Amino acid sequence: MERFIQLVFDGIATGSIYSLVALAIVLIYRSTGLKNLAQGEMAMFSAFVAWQFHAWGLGIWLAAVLAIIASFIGGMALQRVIIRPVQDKSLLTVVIVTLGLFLAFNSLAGGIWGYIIKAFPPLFPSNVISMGAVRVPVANIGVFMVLVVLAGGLAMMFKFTKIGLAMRAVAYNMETSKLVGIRVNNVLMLGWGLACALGAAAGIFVAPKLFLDPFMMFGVLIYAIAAAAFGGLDSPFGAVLAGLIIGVVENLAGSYIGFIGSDLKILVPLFLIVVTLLFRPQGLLGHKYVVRV
Amino acid sequence: MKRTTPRRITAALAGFALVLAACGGDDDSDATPDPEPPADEPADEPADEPADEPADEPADPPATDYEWDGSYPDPGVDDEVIKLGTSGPMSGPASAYGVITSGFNVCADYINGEYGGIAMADGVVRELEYEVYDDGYDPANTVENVRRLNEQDGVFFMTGVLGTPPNTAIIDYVEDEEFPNLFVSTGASRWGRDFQSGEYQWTMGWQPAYTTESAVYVEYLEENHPGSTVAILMQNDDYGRDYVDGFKLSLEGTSIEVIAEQTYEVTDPTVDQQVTELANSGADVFYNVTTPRFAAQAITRVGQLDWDPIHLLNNVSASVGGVLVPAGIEASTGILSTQWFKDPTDPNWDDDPAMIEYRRVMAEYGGGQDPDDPFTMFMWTQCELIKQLLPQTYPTREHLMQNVANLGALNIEIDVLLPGINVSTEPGDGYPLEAMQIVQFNGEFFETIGEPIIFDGQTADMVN
Repeated sequence: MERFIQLVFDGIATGSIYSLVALAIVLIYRSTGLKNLAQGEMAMFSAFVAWQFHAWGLGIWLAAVLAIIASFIGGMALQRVIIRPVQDKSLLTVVIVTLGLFLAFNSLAGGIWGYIIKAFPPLFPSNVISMGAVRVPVANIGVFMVLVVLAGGLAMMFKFTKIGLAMRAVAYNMETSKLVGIRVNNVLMLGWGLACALGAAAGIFVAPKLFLDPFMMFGVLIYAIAAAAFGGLDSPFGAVLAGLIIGVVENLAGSYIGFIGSDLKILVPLFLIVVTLLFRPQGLLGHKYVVRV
Repeated sequence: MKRTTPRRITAALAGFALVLAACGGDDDSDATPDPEPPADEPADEPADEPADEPADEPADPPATDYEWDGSYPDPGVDDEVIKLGTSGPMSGPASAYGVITSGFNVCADYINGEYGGIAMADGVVRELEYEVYDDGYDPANTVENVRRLNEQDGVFFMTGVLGTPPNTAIIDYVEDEEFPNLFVSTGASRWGRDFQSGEYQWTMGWQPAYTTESAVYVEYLEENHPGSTVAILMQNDDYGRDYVDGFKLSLEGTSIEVIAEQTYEVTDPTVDQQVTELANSGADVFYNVTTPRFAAQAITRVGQLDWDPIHLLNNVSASVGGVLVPAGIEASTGILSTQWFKDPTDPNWDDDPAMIEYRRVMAEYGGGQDPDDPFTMFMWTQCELIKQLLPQTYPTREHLMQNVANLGALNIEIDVLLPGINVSTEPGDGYPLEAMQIVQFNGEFFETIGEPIIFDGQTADMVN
């Protein structure tokens, strides 16, 4: 039983990581109608920026806040300079551009900071809570709390603010949004900025656990994409829920289902993607769109 | 206007995820990474060679009974120069190992600057030239580099080509071309096995094989912790399997038992679940067969759980700056690993003549090379080897390969190896180095423990 509880807690901890990155993917999709394959690498890059600020002598929380602000600005610049010229092109074109960003950020981080892993200073106390034989690091709880706050904030923004409404409108139909007076380009820029800021937070909060290097988010992105697809690309809570489910299910399957073991763990999220596509393409909590023909 | 439905997008994402998962990340680094160690006995040299060779200058050597007819049947060598080549990751994810590759330029500068070149067995002094190419740890680039070295540059032989995947990619080519690929910088056990079986006679390893390292741990456990149980965490690829297969083969007939095993993929974000499971087994020993990021995660994780095993960390990740410090000094102190050369960061070697000479050469010829970087020392062991091998070799590949297969019969004494560790190959033994010493991290550096554990001529028995 203790083993089971330990695995569930560990699953929630890794699930929180997937969810954080999935949230950023959802945010960009919800606000611009795109999905950004470079999300994980941008988060990694932002974490490096925070690490650099800290290495220059700033406190880690201040460094984190500065990096998040820098990422917000950087995200808007990226949208303006790289994404805007191709945003009217086909889905494939944009996917390829974000793939290019993926490679660019990976190499850039390697070129600037090297490939040797770095310890990222912890943002939460490093002690561990013991409940019998079950051990839960405080940092895991901290990351989970951050996740809940961010997901809640995001959902509220989309639901209750004007800018959230504008983002939804733009993502839904760019032409019509223009006609009703929404400054589409500004909204898109803002969407990228926010997604990058959120990604930065994700990178910064998971870096102490994963250790910082240019490949830190490589595996995470796969799970985050799975979480976004499984939970519903346009639903923040869906992404969070799905990320947590994937984390827990993957751990339990790896431990209790003999033939899966740790070898085939990665098939768990891929299996979930396929099942989602087959039976509920809009995802667990996603909205169903009806297209008139 | 066209709308993209969630289904299309999800499908695109799923496709991308599959590609990512399939590609994995090539971060199974397999040069021997950082190292460390030694301690107690500075300065006295391995005393088992006829002591007439001060290892310091290219000696002229007791050539074997090879008859050289004075012609040059092979490219890359004439009366003036010997051209050698190498390929390795001077950029990209594995670029930490790049100092091994770029270091061969330092080696050439040193030999030419200090001695005007190398006097080969015919007594003619030839200048040493190195062609050094970057492959970014991408086997496709290595293939290209090696073709260029062979077909355009026409080098005599290659040394220290780095990494298991790159060398695996070129092994058939060098075999077909009869192009010597010597002392490759990877610990895969296949180089020695295939060399001695005759399957691949033009590729030879250098550092102790991963299987040898596993055997060293087994012997250490059997001696110091008989009857202990072991939990293994391993990267699920050739590198991990090499270590673990060797470990299990060495276990036969001992009182040590493996009671839990977990694997991970390089795409796994963390190894928490695996370590949790291993801790659950309650094993006495944790054998950590992982590359640096996962090694650091596992070390941190063990510290969080209710488990205090004897922690064996494979040499691949035994890096103070690259793994143990990031993982946390407290959690890392006491970890055991292995080493085979003198660690430049271990203050116990500060007064060692070999270390003093090494630092002098690096200061004079090293350019930007960091003498404290264990990979620089790794390269230096190969430079010393070449410096001592060529004077005993006539300028033909035939004689070169004859010597390489019989290193034990030559005078090779590399004084930066840990005392008691010697270089030797002979017919039926294709592994030049087959001994390592257990080292323990004391919070600052790895200290040597006991004596080297030696498996001369036995590595092949530990390979499937």
